[in-house]
This record gives sequence, C-alpha cells and structure tokens, in this order.
Amino acid sequence: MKFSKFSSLLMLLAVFIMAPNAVSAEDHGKMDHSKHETPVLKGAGHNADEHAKGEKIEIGRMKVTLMPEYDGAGLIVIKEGKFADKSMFPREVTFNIPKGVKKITDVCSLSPGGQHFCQLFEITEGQNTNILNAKLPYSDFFIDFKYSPFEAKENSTRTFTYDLSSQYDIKTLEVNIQKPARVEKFTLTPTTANTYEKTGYEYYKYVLKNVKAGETKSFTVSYYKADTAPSVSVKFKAMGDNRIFSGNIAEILLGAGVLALAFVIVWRRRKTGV
Amino acid sequence: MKPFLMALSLVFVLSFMSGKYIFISSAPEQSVMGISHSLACPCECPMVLEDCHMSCGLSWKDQIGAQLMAGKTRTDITGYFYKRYGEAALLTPSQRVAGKWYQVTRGGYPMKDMVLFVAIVAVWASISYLVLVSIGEKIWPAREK
Repeated sequence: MKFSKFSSLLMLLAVFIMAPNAVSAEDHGKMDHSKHETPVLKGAGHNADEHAKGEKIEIGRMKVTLMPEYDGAGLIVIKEGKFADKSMFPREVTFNIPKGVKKITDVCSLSPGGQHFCQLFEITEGQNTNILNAKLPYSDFFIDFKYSPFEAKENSTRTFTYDLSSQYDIKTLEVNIQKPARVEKFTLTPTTANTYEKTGYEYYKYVLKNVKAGETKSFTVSYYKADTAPSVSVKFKAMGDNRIFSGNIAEILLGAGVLALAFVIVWRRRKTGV
Repeated sequence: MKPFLMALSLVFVLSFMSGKYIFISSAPEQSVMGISHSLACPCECPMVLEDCHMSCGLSWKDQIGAQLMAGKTRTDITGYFYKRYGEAALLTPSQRVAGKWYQVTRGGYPMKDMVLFVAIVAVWASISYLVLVSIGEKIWPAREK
C-alpha cells in the first residue's frame, strides 16, 4: 500500500471534487459582478506606505457597532463607513483591530450601487493593536469580526473595554453599543444619554467629531448577567459560528477512525501472516 | 486495480464528509440559520446565505426571523424568497458547493477544523481502501497474487 501516492491523490481529489465550478476567494476579486469591473486588481492600487509618504487619507464617516453576547459568548464588532475622497480608490488601506483578533469575518468594499466586494486581507501584529490590511476597490467599507474580550460565566459581571483607534483621521465617528438581553446594572464609560431602540434592543450612541489618526477612544462596558445564553435565541441567530464540525464530533470521528484503521491493519497482517 | 480502489475509497469518503456538511444544515430546520442554508446570499458574492454576514444578507435574515415569529414554516418562507427574489435567492447544488468552497478559500473556517477534516477523510479513506482490497483479494485471490 503506497500511502504517499494515496495521500497525494487524496489532496488532488479533495480539490477537484469539492470545487467543480467553484470560485475561490482570490478569484472573487477578479469576478465580473453584474458587469462591474473590480478595479482593485488592475494593479493601480496604492499601498499603505504612500499614506506614510504624506498623502492625506481621511475617513468621512465611520459607524462602529458593538454587540456583546448577541449570538454567542463573545463580542461582535461591525465597522462600516466611507473614506472622504472616493477618487483615491482603489487602494490598500489599514484598520486597527483589537489585540487578539486574528480572524475577520468579512472585509468588504461597497460599490456605488450597493454591491459588496469582499476582499482578501492580512492581519499583522502591531504594538497596541493588530493591523488589518486590505485592498479596497471602493471608498465605502464594511468589516465585521467576533472576539472574546471577557469571560461569560453564570451569575457574573462582565466588563470589557473596547479601544477604538484609526490609522486615518475620522471626520465623524459614530459608536453604537447594544445592551444585551436579560442584563442588570448595565453601565457605560463614558456615559451617554443618546439611546434608541432597534429590532427590540436598546442601543447607546456616541457621536464624535474630528477624531485624529492614532487617537484612542475607549469605551468600557459593564453589566451583570445571570445566564450564559446569548441575547438572540438559536432560532433567530443570524450569524454562524463558521465551524465545520459541531461539538466534539470531529475528535470522535478521528479517534474512532484511527482505532478502526489500526484494527484493520492488524487483522490484515494476521490474515496474510506477514 | 489498487489505484482504482484508492480513488473509489477517496471519492466515497470525501463525498460523504463534504456532502453531509454542504447539503445538511446542523442548525434546527425552523431557525434563521436552518432556512438560510437553502437560500443564496444576495450580496454579489457566491456564498450561501447562512455564511453571509453583510448588511444585505443580514437584512434577508431579519426577514426570515420576522416570518418565523409570524408563525410561517420553512416551506412558506423559502417559497416567499423564491417568488419575490427569483434567481437571486435560488441555490442550485453546484452553487451550494461553489459557495462552500469560496468560504474555505476566504479562510472562513478555523485551521483546526480544516486539519481535522483532512485527517478524518485520510483515515476513513484508508480504512475503506483496506477493506475494499481485502474484499478484492477474497473474490479474486489468483489475480491479487
């Protein structure tokens, strides 16, 4: 039995079987979306270094939404906004994301027609924050990710601070914090009287003007919660966990497989007398 | 014969593993995620709606949630989307495979899950191959020798 050939064949077949007409995320950037060309791949994109060379890039408006324990134990962060000068795009841009965030759910650019062009991205570790680097074809952007800045235990007070900073000046920064369901003693630092209700949840809103690049705005959220269930029930959960396997099924399948393989090998050796 | 059995084992195990993941939702049938498994993402990307987190996708999921709360069934809701949005909501089997492959290539799954998936396919394909070889040796002993 030639396992080296077998494993090569396995990998090759995995690719061909799983993706007969499939588009990879890399190809997606090259796709013709309803006849809209994706300019980022023309090679005309600028890079983040040009920013450092004195070119002034500014975000016109950015809205950041924080949703603690919305559909899981962590924090969902959604950043959406638009750069002030559309003519500077396509280009490479960078965003600060919290330390510990190594995975982003979506990094997309929105065309003037509202179409989403999700992009490949890189995350590098910075000194105080991690840095997300992506090429955006259009000036409007949408980024979302999940992470766990606090531990969700039963009958406990959850406290976390979200440090918001940007690589670029922001003319108007809007921060919206969703109050999780079934919580008590919900406090925010700094406080705000600006609240509104949307889809059954209470939001706290901050509007900040002319935030400078590198300036950090910190928001501390604290609340007591008796249970560990998310705000939204599983039935109405809208964001997946991006997992292939649920629970320990993968480990069980692999363990059972290894045992079965060992059994079959021993059985064959005994049978053939080798 | 052996290369054919290798390929057969691999195709069988891989089809089972990926087919289970691609075509059967792990979310409850009467839930937003369960119903999103049957619809395409409307956001100009080739994803299945359940993997889509963009505002246009979330807006469709909100609509699904509202219809669930109104007491509608999975069939009613998917039927509504197919009628109202036509091809934009339809998901053919090849689009479903393409959508999941896109999710893989965009780094949509944890590396641990990807490694486990490949390891499970390799181990179970090896078992299937050895079992098929044993059966083959029993049926055609002379040829194998």
